[in-house]
Amino acid sequence: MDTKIAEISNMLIEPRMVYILERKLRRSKFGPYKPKTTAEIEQSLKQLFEAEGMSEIAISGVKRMTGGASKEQFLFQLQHSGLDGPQGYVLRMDPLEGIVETCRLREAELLRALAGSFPVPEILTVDAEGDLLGSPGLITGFVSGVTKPTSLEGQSVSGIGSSYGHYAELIAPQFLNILVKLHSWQGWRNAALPNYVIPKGNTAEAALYQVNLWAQTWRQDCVEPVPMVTLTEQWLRENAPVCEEPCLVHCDYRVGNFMFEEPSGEITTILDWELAHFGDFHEDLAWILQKLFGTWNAQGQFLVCGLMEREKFISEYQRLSGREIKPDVLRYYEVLNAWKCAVMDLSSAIIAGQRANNHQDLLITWLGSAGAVFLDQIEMLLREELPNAA
Amino acid sequence: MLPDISNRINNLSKALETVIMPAIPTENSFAAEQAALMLGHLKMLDQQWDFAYLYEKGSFDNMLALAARLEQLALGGSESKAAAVQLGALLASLPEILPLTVNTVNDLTKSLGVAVDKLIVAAYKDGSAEFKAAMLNSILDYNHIQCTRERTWFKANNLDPDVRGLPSMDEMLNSKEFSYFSVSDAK
Repeated sequence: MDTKIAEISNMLIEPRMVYILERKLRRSKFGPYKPKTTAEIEQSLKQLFEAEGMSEIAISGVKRMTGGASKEQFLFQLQHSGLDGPQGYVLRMDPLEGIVETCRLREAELLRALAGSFPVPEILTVDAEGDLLGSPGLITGFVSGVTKPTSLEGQSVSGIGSSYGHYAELIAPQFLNILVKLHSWQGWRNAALPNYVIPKGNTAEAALYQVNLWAQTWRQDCVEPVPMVTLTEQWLRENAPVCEEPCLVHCDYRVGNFMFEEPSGEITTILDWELAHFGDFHEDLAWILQKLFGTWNAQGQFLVCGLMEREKFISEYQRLSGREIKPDVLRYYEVLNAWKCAVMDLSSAIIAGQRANNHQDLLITWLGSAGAVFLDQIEMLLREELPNAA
Repeated sequence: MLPDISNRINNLSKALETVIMPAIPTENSFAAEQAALMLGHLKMLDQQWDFAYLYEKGSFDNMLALAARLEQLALGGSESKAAAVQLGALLASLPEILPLTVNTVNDLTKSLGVAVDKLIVAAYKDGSAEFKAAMLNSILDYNHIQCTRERTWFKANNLDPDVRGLPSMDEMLNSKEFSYFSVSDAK
């Protein structure tokens, strides 16, 4: 890559995300972070709803939700003069820093744009800067369902490693159909998404926007140098593939991030849109295919997200979408995703835990200890690429 | 050392498991989850603490071997040359006898890592094709060994989807197979 192109490609980073990373740096100095009490949450919610013009506000049943390694989440009931009875909502708030730094305003914009077309939580309101909540936060309607079968044992804290048992057959086709529909969604053309950037088609921008964002995250949060992380960044820059037509990608579409009803197995909601952006559909596929999110069945076959075999997932996606999955581009995004996970684990999670700036310091430190799993994955992928690797 | 560290960690685990966790109200799932994570961390710490220096020294030895190899291989334009000179100077300034604490050894590893990083970035700007290819192979080899060590060190976290091929803690710490120093010397 010549110097001029390299300089231009280094500038490709979404302005809102530059702001979010800078804000994180400022907020990280306010620590250590103390998890919010239910009384504090009740008080902040009341302030927020008063500012929204609601009257006769009553907040009850505030309950912290467990799991989740990036946002502090609470369930609550809201009653006010405009409602017939109390309704359930979910508050999603940013700790001072966490394993990933994302934007509640972007998340709200996107969920509003997707409403009606996709099973997403309804947005009640957003406090983008945390002026009234004390931390940036988003309030969505409560959706019924479960993220893992209630009858199966051996579940993990973040949903990773979950197994769906007999629900796999019911969930797998829906999981694929929603993904295919998301990648062909054209509603963004008329939606209000001012805090998103659409990479130019037929260029390598889709990949470079992501490389720059995560490289900046690594530089900001780096605790100690890791040669493989640095090498991979350079490799990703040199090998960034052209994306013909960028589309919306969820970027955390996996086990644990959707809810379904029991016993029907019907998916009711897709959760955690915080990492969504416009990019290459291969990025989502590569994320879903990660070993970390899968399980092995009794016959020793690896199941993608605990739902279906890898080859079946790939062939079904191609059949349903009419898209061609390019193996070299898929591999590029497998490298990028593993690198991104290594950045999260080995820098953001560790530094947030060191500065005690998260509501789940113990959990993010635990997750941080998985960094080498991703480095190992990158090495395996680059060795497969070796003739072209340098 | 009486009481010893294992004794104290085990007492902490027992108090947590038999007294504190049962006292957590069932509706406080956040507290229960935090307590379970504490117990997990304590159990992992108990497996690790006695080997922490040996582990950290092994990580330093591997980074040292990688740094020495890359410095030897470096070829290219002015940026690659300058980064290699800087790395060489750092290698020459390392103490003959390693410090005796985990953190001080880790500090040395980090300083070497910073210089290695600079050489990698420089190589992608003006390194020769031969150097880039050799550097890539060296880093992949180093990474393989260092990752195997780290995945073994944290095997108890249950986050590794494929622990079947990992060595035992003892093998990882003592076998030459997991020392990039030995591997790179042989090349």
